[in-house]
Amino acid sequence: MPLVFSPLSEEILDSPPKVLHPKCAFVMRQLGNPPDIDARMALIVGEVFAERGVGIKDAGASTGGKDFLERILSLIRGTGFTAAIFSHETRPTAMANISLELGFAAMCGKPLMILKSKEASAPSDLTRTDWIEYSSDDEDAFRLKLKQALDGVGELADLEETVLGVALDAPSMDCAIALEHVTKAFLLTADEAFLAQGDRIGGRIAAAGAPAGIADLERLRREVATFTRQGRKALRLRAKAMVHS
Amino acid sequence: MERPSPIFRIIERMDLVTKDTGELSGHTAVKQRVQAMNPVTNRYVKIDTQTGRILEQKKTAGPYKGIREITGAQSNRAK
Repeated sequence: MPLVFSPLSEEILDSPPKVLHPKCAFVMRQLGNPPDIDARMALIVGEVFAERGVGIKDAGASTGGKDFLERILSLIRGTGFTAAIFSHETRPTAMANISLELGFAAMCGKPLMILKSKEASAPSDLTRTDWIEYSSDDEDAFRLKLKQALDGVGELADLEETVLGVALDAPSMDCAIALEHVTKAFLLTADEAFLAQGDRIGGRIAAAGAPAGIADLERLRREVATFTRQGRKALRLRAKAMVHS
Repeated sequence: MERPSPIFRIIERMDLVTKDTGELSGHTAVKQRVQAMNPVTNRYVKIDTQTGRILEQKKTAGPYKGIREITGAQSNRAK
């Protein structure tokens, strides 16, 4: 095994997410035999998220032959936000994985929710971050904070929509930036209107034509087309899942 | 299905930046900026209306001076 390696391929790092999970959170927690307190927190998170129509994906959600780390990163990039659940009883190796995944999510610009037991210590690099504390004596407070955090996610979606509105009306639109905002807004809300706005971005790129010797426009055009195609597919799957549940 | 438009609250002043017209008066062209509040950081972000890029985030609390603020109302999305 090489002593110096790059765990993630260029393809994963440079290309947009292939599968989208709109209005879903990627939840990081100990999956194998979790402590009771972790399991209880995860259960409450599942209930509160379900009330708001927010789905949950975790590391067990992705299957296939690709590298596990790449699958985790795809899930992080393809969901709207991330939630880390841990306690003072979480296994140290699981805690290390949670910290790694939190780092990935932060670098991907994803909103983070940190849910921990009162006794647990968060990674010291996150001391400026607010977290949601769980105590078995006051589960109502935990639920309330969780709901407030989801309200915050909604406000963030409103900001993305506001900034996207400015970008779409801009006379010299930065299409890559606009695509970023529309992707974030869509992943937070699963709102089909954002796919139509993705089509608008694609239209602006098409109107620019194809200057010779510049591959960026074509690449951007493909990325926008991938976003709208995958977004529509994700909404169809989401609608099907809701019918069956 | 068309989404309802968010309601915007606009503060009147705009950010003005000068350019030299070659005349003594030195009249200005308008470089447009707007600002919006980031609810995660609780800080205002400045946006270039020519390109849609976020230019910077304010380090201290409160809005930028002289820059039009845009706010979206609570969306009608089901919470």
